[in-house]
Amino acid sequence: MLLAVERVALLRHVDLFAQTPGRVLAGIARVLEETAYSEGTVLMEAGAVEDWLFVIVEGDVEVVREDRRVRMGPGSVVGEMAVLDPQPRSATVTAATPVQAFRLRKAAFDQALRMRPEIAAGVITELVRRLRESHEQPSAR
Amino acid sequence: MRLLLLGGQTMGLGLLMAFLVVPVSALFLDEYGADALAYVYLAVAVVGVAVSAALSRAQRRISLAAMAAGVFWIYLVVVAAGWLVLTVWDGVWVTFPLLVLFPLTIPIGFALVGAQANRLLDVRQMKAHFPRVAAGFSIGFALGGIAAALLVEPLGGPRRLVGVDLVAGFVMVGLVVATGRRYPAELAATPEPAPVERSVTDRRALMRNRLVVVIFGYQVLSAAVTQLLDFMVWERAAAQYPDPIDLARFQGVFGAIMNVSSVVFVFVFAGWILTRFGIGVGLAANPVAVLVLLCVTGATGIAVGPAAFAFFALVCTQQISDIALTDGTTRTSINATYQALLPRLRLQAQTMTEAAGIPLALGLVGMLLIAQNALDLDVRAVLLVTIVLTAIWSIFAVVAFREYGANLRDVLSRRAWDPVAIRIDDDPSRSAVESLLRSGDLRDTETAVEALTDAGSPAVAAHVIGWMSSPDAERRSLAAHVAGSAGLLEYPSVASSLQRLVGDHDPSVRLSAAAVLAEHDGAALNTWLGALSGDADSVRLALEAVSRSPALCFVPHLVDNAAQPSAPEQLIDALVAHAEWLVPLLAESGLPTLTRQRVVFALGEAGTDVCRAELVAHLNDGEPDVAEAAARALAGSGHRETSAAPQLRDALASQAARAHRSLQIIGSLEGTAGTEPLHGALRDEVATAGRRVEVLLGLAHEPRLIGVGMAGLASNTERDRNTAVEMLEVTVGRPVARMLLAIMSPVLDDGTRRQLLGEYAAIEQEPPADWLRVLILDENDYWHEPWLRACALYAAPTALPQEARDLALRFADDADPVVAETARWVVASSMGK
Repeated sequence: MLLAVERVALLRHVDLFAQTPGRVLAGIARVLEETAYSEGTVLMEAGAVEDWLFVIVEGDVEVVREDRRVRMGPGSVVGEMAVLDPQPRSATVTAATPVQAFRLRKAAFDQALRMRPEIAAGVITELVRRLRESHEQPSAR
Repeated sequence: MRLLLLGGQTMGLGLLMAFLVVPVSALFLDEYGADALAYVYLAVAVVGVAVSAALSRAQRRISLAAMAAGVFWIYLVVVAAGWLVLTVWDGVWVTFPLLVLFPLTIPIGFALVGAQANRLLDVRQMKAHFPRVAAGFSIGFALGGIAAALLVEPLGGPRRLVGVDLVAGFVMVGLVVATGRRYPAELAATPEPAPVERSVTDRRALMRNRLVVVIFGYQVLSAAVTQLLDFMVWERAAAQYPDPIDLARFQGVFGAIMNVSSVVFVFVFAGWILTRFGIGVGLAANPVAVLVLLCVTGATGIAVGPAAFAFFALVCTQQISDIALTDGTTRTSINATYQALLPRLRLQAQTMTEAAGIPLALGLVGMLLIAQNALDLDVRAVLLVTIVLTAIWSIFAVVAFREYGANLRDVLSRRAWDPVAIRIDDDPSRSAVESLLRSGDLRDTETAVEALTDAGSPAVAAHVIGWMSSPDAERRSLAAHVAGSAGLLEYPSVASSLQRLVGDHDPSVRLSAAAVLAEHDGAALNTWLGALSGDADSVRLALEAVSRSPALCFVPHLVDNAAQPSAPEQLIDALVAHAEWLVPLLAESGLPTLTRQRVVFALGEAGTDVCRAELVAHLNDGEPDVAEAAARALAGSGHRETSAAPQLRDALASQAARAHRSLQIIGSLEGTAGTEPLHGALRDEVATAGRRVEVLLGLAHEPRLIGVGMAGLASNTERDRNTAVEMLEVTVGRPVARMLLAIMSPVLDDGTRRQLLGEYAAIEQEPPADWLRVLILDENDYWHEPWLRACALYAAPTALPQEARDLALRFADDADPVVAETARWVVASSMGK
């Protein structure tokens, strides 16, 4: 079990939270759930309606969507759409190696957003980055 | 390359002027004498106004590059015609129009080069490099003056020297065209055709703009004084050298000395003066220095008479000083002040002030000299008038600098939205109210009731009693609220109807009635309290009810509620409604930080004078989060504080000291194991100080301007940072701007940042262990930041192994869960060892 201080140190390496002050992240760190998955375990399944995101702390996951397959490592966030707008998952995420992750539920995330607007800036930045990536994807092929 | 081309242009301009003025002035003075100069100046004034109008029209229609090339082509045509008249037809009279051309061309030439520089350089580059660009003129003039002095005899007199000016003219045109072609985007773009109304509006705006008016006055006085100094030199020189060849030689050599001095001054001192002392000193240096010299010359003139060589030497010295300072500091400072205008107005203002102001000044000088001739006064009378004008010029320098800063702020300021009260004091208004009362829309009813209540209408009570038995719950609820706010409880029928509503089946009606009666009715208060401790909907309704019917009895319950992290949004509205009663609470000890922050926010929302005064008193609150909340609340309420206000200055100094101390600790902890989270927390402290300083400065200055400046300081682009520093120096003053740079700059190293912040805090060299102890214990409640304490505790087992356990034990049951968790971990780690 990691200390809140250690969780914050890990969250600072996550793009979504990189611009958020540590004392703000300390609030989030307290409501995170630490989870561990063995290789091959499915963390999220496409179509499932869930309301949490994962922050990958250790290990790699494989994200499989209809149009692409991506491998993501420590510091990545998967499933963040679900905490903003709960809809069926658009991808299946599987542990490609033994994985340690933080799980953050929508209720906790919503509360953190309400109490700490700084987090919203990080979320917006990350979403814009992803949006830009998805726009650039066709021409990159 | 930009500087090279701009410098080339000013050098070309210097050559052009030297080869014109040396022969033409010698011929003119020999033929007509110094007294005739007055008529030249008057002609300059008349022609100058016409040229100014023509240039003003041209700059709205053609590109800057085309306009500059056009000006110098016209110059070439005029000089070529003059040269032909002089050499072919022996017409010395042509020296009159050619001499008129000289004082017209210099300001127009500088306006054109300055306008190009404004588009090619940012304001900081202007300050650093424009003096050198302007020095090109002096170099060109010095070279031209020496060459003219050397060539005057071999060429057989001054007349043929005018032909050399044509060569210089072609060089100038070539440079202007080359600059325009190299930077087409900045210089060769044709201006958007501005609507006629906008041009008229722009002109009116310029005339009304105090900065433009003051700069115009400054330029007129500067040009008038320069011309009077120039006249004195020419008048004395004509007396000293009666032969035209000797006079031309003197003009050439004196011009060279004057311009070499100017170059030396520009290269050695001007850039340093402007960078070190800023535009204010740049504007004032010239008039003040000239004033001092004029006084010395005046005393000498009285002592030894105007014919003495000492007087002549001093007259020449004045002119040399004026030209050096004009080239080195005045031109650059004036050019920089135009940056405070909207971009589309800059060139227009520049053309107007330089091309019209300078001819006006010469006209004034011409009139003065004609008066001097008529009264048969000697050159000392001119000296006295020059002293008076220079004193006024010095005052304009101070005013111009103040207006520069004010204009920078005004350019970006936004217009405040002033709410206007609805007045019901005539028949049409009363009729409108009646119509609103009949409306089915409750919002219309509320508007009407509000208006009637404000007007003290007795009809309100009848309407309220009627609505209390309405089938519409919202209308009953409104009636309950109005019964309280309009003071209708004195009507027994209203009071009894309201009592009935406390038992209404609709909770919102019930709570509205209870809120109105709670102050004097224990049962009603209990009804309300029951809702406040109920489910989320009940709490929301209870808070909404007291937002509309505030009373002192609710205050303790609202304050308790404000300590809850997830309190509903309606709590703030309720606190705002009770703001005046909350004021004393801020000074009470023991209130949770979150409660104080919410109270502060509510005071800002309420925005009354009492609330704002209380918030100002808490700008430097012992709890940094509360202090920041106070600043934000004041900013949000539109409050303005003077930058000299002690609370504001203390708060700024406090944030600077906090950033300084954070940087010191970061430096001290370098390489200490286990301190990575603490490093991050301390960097956050520096960033937080920047954020808080921005809010604080926004109280004394235009907040958007401060925001833009702060964002510019944090930019990775040097040009943006330079512009931001310049703008902030003008807006908040140099010391504060340096402090901001130290906090925000992404490129300065920590040592430089600490040095810049040094004046706000003592240098404290402590070993890492001591700093950790300070951060953990925070005995003076300086940091007031649990996260810092947690991070310091986390580093304790490695950095403070001997005392980590004892230190941690004190915080094992801390109210902050992260601190308590970390402290318990430290204790457990120590036991494990």
